[in-house]
Amino acid sequence: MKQTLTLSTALILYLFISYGCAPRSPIATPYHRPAEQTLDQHDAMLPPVPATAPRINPVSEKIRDRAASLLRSGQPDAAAQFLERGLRIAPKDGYLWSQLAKVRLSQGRRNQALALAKKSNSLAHGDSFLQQKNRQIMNQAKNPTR
Amino acid sequence: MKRLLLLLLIFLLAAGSFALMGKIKQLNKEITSRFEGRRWELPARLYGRPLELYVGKNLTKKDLLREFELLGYKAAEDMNTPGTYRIHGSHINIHCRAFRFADGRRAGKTIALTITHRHIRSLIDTADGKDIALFRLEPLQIAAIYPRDNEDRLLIRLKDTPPLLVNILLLTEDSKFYHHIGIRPLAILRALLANIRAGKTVQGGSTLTQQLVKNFFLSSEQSLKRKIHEALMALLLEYHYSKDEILETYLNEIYLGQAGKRAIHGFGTASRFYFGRNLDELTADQLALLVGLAKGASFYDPRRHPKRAKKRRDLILMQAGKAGLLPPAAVQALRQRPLGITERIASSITRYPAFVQMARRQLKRDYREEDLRSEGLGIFTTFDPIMQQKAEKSVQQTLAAIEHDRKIDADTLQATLILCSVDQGEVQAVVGDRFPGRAGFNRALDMRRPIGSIIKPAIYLNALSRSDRFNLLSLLDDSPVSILSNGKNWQPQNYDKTFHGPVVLRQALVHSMNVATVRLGMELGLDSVIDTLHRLGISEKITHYPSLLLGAVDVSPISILQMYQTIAAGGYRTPLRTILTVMDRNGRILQRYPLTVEQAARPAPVFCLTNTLQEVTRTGTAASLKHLLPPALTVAGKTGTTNDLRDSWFAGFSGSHVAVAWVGRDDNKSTGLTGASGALRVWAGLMNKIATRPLVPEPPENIDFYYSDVDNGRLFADQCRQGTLIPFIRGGILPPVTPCMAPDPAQHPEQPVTRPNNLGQTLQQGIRQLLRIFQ
Repeated sequence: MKQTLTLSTALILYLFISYGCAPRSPIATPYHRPAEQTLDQHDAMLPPVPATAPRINPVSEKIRDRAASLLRSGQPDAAAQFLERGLRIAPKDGYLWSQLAKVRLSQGRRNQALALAKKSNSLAHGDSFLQQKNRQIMNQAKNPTR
Repeated sequence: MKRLLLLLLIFLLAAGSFALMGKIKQLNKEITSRFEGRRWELPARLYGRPLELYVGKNLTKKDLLREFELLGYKAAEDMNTPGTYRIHGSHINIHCRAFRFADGRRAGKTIALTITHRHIRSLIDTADGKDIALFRLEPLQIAAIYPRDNEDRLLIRLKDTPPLLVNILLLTEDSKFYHHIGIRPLAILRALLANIRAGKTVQGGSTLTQQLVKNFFLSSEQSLKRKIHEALMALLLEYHYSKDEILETYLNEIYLGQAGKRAIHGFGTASRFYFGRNLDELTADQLALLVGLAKGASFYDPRRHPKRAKKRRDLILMQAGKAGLLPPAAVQALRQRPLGITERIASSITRYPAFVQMARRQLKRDYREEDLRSEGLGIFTTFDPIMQQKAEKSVQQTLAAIEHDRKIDADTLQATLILCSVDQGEVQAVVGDRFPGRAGFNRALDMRRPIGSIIKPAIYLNALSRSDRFNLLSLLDDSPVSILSNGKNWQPQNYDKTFHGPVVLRQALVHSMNVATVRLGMELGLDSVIDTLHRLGISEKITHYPSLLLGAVDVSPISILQMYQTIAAGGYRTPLRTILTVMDRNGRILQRYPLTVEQAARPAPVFCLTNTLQEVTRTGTAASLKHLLPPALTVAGKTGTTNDLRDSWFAGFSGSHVAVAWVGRDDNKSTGLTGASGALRVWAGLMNKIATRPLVPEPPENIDFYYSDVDNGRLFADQCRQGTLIPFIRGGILPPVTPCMAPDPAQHPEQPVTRPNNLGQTLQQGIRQLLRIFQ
């Protein structure tokens, strides 16, 4: 009995070791560039993964402030016009698009607010704060408060 | 008898008085109705985009100087006048003009900026030394839509008119203006006697009021009746309106020149017409020249009769000196100056007919033609004159080079080139003819030609949107196919007349394989493909034939631009626009045309498509762009060539601009050019010249990159660290995984190590090995 148990244990152990050492079928997982990039020779030959640095013009902040002030003072048309001017300067600034979405929401143009918020998200660069703002706008656009 | 005659006389006098009263009443009505309200039919004026200035902006000194030239800014050391600038090395001072923008009036201002390495580094208000965050120069007037009688006016206010102009005018034409009642009976008598003695008209006795009446209401007929009417109307005018009102009207009404069919009225317009500058920017000699034209604009035309014009000007300057309006020493110096007249522009309406035509079509949706011609509207457009100049140059230079290289007769080829911004869809430049000032057939808007392979991105986008069935490495079939269409068998061919068998989807688009594309399109369904085309922005009706899959559809360049704008903007279509705002003559906003977006396609498939279109420009049919553009300027695009090489197309985009180019012949004969050898060169010529951003698309959150074997349509295993990173839509179908390839396949043939990794098979192998031990 004792010998049978020992042999069985050895066999099971052997099989598990064999399983563990056996080479697997090839698998592929998505590529993620490490946060701290150290470009080795191989990486340098690859096509670039898009940079995560925001492409925002410094003047954008001033534009956003001015537009916000115009909206607060009840001038949504003027705010929208100013934001459009800003977008000519910084077309990839997700915050400007988001602010324009907010202006359209204030004007009751819900479809546009939704589309602009989605556009803003497409330029968010993983900015969770901006995405959260856009989610709020989209929720309000889909479910207007009575 | 005597009593009968007296009665007749009384009757005649009474009747005459009655008739006279009637006439006066009629004239009075004419005067007041014309003067009240609008007074004039004013042309609508179209403005281009203002040049925005801010720290960090990509701007060369050369482009800034181009802008100055267009706006009529002059280099000057003192810079006391608006419309002047001064450059010292990288430092530029500008005395900007005041302007009424759609969002408010901006006063004239002096600013200072520095430009180094093609960027603005500092921007300061010289009045207080403070930094300026954002500033814009006034926009260029690019066109005017004139009243039916073709009169052109740029209204000026008396209070804004240079006092020297008013003083010289009154001195020359009517020194007693503020004292008489509209006519000067003694002056009329004197002139009459002088003319009788001379036997011809040698002296005029007209006041400014009378001249105004003559300009406003009456013909140039020389008769007693007309003179009497003129006098009566002058009196009526003086009765109803103040001296200042009459003078202001005169300043805006007086006929001062002719530009083809367009009559130049008023000193404001004349200032721009002759000197290319605003009235408040003119020097004393220039003002004197304009005043001299009041006596006879054709006779003293400075372009046709410069000597006469100079003589008249100098005479007026001397009179001004004698009257104490100008210092004597200044008069001497001013008389030595040349006339300084600018060159006349080629078209009397606009230098940019192709764009203006597009803008007018947009306006016609909301405004009647007569409103455009008479209400004095201010229309702000998206037009960029610098981009336009560069587009025109690219077309002209490239076509000339192609004709020279291929020994084609000069001026045989035609082209169109249109440019818009990626995210706002604002049309910035339109070239509808290789001779851009020519206002004729606008190929950019009205030409409908087959588009060839530039239709293909729509088909592949449709496929990629079905991520459960297709990805960039899906295998397509590039083997012969025969399709029944319209009762005939259609057998599409590849450009190289060969068939490639199984091909990877990505490669089929990169190398523009026709047969694989047709098979794919038929599998997707023609209706579905047509729907995608319309969603992307193709507005033309598309016939339901399989040949549409190879671009056998007649589409305009502007529609193609819309389609590629949607792709470039990540699937967000923004209707192309040329007009931003319309303002009335008093500066009140009548209409805004706001930025609107619509999601026409999901971002992830568009990203995959864009990734492939970038590859087109690296290794595909547009690979020649590698040699035509700077390495850092990454772009995406697609070539298109139609049967017999009749049409050469290229549509593509950078990070900030989309452009479509077409090259062909108006007689529809073959050009011998492919999309790469023709239109692509025109496109690249423009992209090389403009300040544009490289294309660095942002991957949507549901995109994953995998190392891939793009030739065989497989993923490489993780440990391989080889291959090309290709995007895939998360949750969609993935290609099979292939093991790593040996470093040199020729010396080390591939030996796949494909041992199973499931437990059942492991047990079997383990038992076999164990048994071998015991054998």
